[in-house]
Amino acid sequence: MSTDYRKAAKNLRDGVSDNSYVSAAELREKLTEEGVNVDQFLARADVAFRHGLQEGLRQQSAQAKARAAVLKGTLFGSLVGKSREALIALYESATAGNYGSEAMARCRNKNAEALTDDELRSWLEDIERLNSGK
Amino acid sequence: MAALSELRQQACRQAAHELLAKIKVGSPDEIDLEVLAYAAGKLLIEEGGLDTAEGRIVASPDGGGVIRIKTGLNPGRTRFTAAHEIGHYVLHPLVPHDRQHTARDFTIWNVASEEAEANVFAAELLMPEFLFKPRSRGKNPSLTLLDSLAAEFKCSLMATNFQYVHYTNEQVALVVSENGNISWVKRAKNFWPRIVTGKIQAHTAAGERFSGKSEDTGKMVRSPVYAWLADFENDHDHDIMEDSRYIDYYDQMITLLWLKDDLEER
Repeated sequence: MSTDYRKAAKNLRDGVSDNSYVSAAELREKLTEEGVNVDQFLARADVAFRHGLQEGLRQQSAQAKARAAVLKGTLFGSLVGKSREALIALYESATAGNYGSEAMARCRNKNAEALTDDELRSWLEDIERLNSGK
Repeated sequence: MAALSELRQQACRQAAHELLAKIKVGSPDEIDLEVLAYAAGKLLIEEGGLDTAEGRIVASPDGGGVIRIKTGLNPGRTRFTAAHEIGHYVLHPLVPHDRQHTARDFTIWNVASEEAEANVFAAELLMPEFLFKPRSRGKNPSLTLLDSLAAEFKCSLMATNFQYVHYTNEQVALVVSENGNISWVKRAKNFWPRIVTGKIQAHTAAGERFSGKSEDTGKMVRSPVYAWLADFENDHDHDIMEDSRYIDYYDQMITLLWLKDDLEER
């Protein structure tokens, strides 16, 4: 078996870029003759493709989080340190429609009294995030 | 209450497979919940902001939203909670999501309900058949085996049990009990005997654990078949293998039963 990897790589590139003139079986045979472990190559290509796809989504998710952090506070203002009374007042104001129709619909269907302070605060943040994502 | 049908369970599993296929998952370490949540509907996972609940989803049916996980859960619970919330988003898409879940919701597996559906989805998402089966077959059943599978898939023991009983070829059954009473049972396809209902018998290791006479079994131990199996009340000659462990977090006992030596059908 040939160990001329440069030539094998060239054949591999040629095969990938234009393989209309050979069948898959012929291409496999030719590459094998040139010293390419086709199964290993395909397995590695598959892993590289999968990881590339997953990494792309991971980055999109991270960017969306970064965007959300920048937009934090644009609907309800900063909620950090707000008292329960202030949070409930915000919720009631949103229920009355003062923060848009989506926030109004969400608040109308929520029993804010059942939430703890932290849960109410984070819930309002999540509503805000939905709103800013539009 | 009616049990979650096999057909509906299959639909939940299929939905999990389709999501995994979207990001071409090929190994357990590629089951990244952040990536899966984003692929499912541009959902972002955040930790914190919850006290009484363990998980919450606030999302729009047309994409975008936040999954929150309570801070301080162990990694297995954190992942299962996130997978459960993704399950609601994928399986129950008609309404704007605003759901909050406590630890109790993650113990509902067999009752026909959206919570059970999300749990079945989550188990399959974290331990899909094509990765789980090859790693679980050909080994003697025990909770120790399930611990190692739970560690590899970074998942909770309860969910791992559920998947194991669903996919194994062994004659095993999962029994979940609470306050000394059997809450529910899941039998493997070829575990044919019926399991007793109601109170856990004193002659089982689980019964001894409930009464404080002994600790968790720590391994498979022999118990008389009459103590576990209906129709075998008068059989004092045969044993069944049992591995029982008390799970403080849920206040429940998990028992893995194994018919190591098959019995004659009654």
